[in-house]
Amino acid sequence: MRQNLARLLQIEGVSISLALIVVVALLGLLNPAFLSADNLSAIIVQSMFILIIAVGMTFVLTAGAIDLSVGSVLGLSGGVTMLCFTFGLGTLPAVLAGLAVGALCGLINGLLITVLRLSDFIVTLATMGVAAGLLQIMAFYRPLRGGETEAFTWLAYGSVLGLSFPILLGLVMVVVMALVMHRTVFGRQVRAVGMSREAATFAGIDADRVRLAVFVMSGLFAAVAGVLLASRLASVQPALGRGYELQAIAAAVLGGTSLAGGRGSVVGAAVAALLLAAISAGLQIVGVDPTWYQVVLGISILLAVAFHKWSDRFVDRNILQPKLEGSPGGTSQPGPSQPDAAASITPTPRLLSTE
Amino acid sequence: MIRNSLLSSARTLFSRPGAGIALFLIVVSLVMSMVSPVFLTWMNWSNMLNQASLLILLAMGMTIVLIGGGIDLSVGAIAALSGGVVAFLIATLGTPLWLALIAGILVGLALGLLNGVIITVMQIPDFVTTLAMMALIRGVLFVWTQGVPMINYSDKTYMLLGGLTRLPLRLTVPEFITAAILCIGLLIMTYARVASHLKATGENPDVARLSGVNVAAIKIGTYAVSGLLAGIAGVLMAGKLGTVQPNMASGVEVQALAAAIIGGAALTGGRGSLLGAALGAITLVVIQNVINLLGVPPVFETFVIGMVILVVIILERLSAMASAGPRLA
Repeated sequence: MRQNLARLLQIEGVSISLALIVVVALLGLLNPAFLSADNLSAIIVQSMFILIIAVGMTFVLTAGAIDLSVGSVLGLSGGVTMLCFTFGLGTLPAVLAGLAVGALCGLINGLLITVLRLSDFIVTLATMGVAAGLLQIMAFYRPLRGGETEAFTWLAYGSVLGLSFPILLGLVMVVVMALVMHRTVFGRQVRAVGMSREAATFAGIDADRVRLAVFVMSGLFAAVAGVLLASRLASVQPALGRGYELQAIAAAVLGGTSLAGGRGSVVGAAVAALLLAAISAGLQIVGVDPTWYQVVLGISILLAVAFHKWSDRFVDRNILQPKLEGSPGGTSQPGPSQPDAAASITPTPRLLSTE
Repeated sequence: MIRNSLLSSARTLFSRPGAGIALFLIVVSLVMSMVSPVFLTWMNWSNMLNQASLLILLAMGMTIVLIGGGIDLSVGAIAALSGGVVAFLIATLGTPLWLALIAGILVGLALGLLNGVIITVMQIPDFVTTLAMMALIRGVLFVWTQGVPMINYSDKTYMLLGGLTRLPLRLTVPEFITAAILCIGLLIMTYARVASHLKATGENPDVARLSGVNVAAIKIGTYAVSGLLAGIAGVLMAGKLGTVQPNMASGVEVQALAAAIIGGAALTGGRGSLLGAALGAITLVVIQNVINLLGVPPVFETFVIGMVILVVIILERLSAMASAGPRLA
C-alpha cells in the first residue's frame, strides 16, 4: 500500500491533477454552471498566459535558477507589438518584434548571470524593474492600442478545427516542451545542471550554455504569452504582466518542480496553471470575494512546497533501497537550502524511472 | 608602482562599505547644485530625509536578513498590514493611539517571526516563503478592507509622529526614530556577540552550527527584526499618509533590497552594512528627487531604479573581478 502510494506520487503531475479534479468537481457541485463547456473553455483560455510562462519558468527552475522578470517581459513584449501596430506595421513584423524583445531580455538576463556570475535572483529582479519601466515609458508617450490587424486579433480569438488557437498553442507548447524536458539531451542537461552544476560540468556539460539557453527560452515564452495577451486585450496597459511571475512560479512549484533545481514537470506546471485559473474563476462563481485569490495563492505555494518535501521523503523511504535510506540529510542537517541539495543527490533511481 | 599603489588605495577606499555611495552622493550633489538651484537647499534635503527615513528602516531590516543569508520580500505587505491594524483600531474601536501603535508594531513582529519559523522549521526556501507571505498578507489586507482605503483615524499627535507635521528646522519625528534605531543597530552590529553569530550564519551555516551558533534562532531573529522594523515603518507611514490604501507600500521591498545592496549587502549572505543601507536608501530618494527636479516624467522612475540596481551589481562584480585578477595571475 505504502509502496503503491509512493509509486503513484512519483508519476509526473499525478498529485496536482488529482487536486485539479477535486477542485473542479467541488466547484461543479457548488454551481453546475461552472461545468458548462463555455465556462470551462473560457477558463482554459484565461489560464494560457500563465501556463506559457510557467513552462518557461519550469525550465529555469529545473536548471537551478529563477527568473523574476517574466511578468514584466510579458508586458514589455506585448507593448512593443502594440507599439508596432500603432505605427502601422504588419502582423508579422509586429509579432516578431515582440518576440525578439522577449528573447533579447532573456539573453541579457542569461549573459549577466553566466558571464558576470551575478546572482540570477537579483539580476532578474533588476531587469523586472527595467522592463516594467520601459513599458510604463512607452505607454506614457503613446497609447498602446489601435491599428492591430485582423490576423493579430485571430491569434487570441481564432480557432483551428474547432479548438481555440490559444488553447492549441498552449497544448502544443506543453507537449513539445515536456518531450524536450524528458526525451532530449538538452532536457537531461538542464536537469543535470540543476542537480549539481559542478557534477554536470565534470560530466562534460557546458553549464553556462545550458543556463543561458533556459533564460532565453524563458524570455521568449514570456513574449509569446505577452503577444497573445495583447491580442486578447486589444490594448496594453502600463502595468500589464505585473505579478505574473509570482503566479508562474506558483504554477511551476505546484506542478512538482523543485526550487532547488534538478527536477521539473512541464505537464505538472500546465495542470497547476489550469488549477490556479479554476480557483480564480471558481471563487467568483461560488460567490466568494475574488480578493481571496491572493490569500489562496500564497497559502497554496507554501502548502505545495511543504507537500513536495513530505512526498520526496515518503518516496525515498518507501522505494529506495534500505542502504540509501538515512544516508543523506540524516548525518548533516545544514541550512534551509542544504537538505534539498542533499536530497537531490540520492534520488537517481527516481530520475531513471521517469525516463 | 605608483599606479599600483593608487589602485590599491582606491580599492581599500571602495572596499569600505558606503564609501562608494558617499562619493556618488557628493558628485551628484555637486552636479545637481549647478543644474538646479533648488537641489542644495535645506528645504529640498529635509523633504528627502523625511522621505528616506521610512525606507531606511526597511532597508536596515533587509540588511540584517541578507547578512543572515536570507531575503525578505514580505516587508511591504507587513508594513501595510501594520498600518491597517492601527487605522482599524483607532477608527473602529476607538483604541488610544499608543495602544494601537504597539498593536500595529506587534503585528509586524509576529509576521516576521512567522516568516522565520516557516523558513527554519518547515525548511521552505527563504524567498518562496516570503514571496508567498507577501501575497498572503496583501490578500488578507484586501479581503479585510474590501479594497476601500481606511480613513478617519488620524489626529494631531499621529500626524506629528508620522512626520506630516514638522518640528523646528523642518525636521520630523520619524527621522529621529530612524536615527535612534540606526544608532542602536550600529552599536549591536559593532559590539554584540550576536552580530558575529549573524555573520557566521550567513557566511556558512554549517560551520556556524558546528561552532556552537544556534543558527535557527539567529535566522528567526533576523526575520523578527525585519518584521519589527517593517511594522514600525508601516505605523509611521499610516500616520504620514492619513489614509491606509490596501496597496500601501507595495513594491517597497524592491527598494529596500536595492538600498541594502547598494549599501554593500551581498545576496550570498555574511556581508552587509546598516550605515551602507541607510546611505543606499538616501541614494534612491536622491535619484527620485533628481528625476523630479530635472523635469523627467515620473514614469521613468521604475526604469531608472532597475538600471541603478543593475549598474551597481555589475560594477561591484567587475571591481571584485579586477581585485581578484592579479592574485590569480
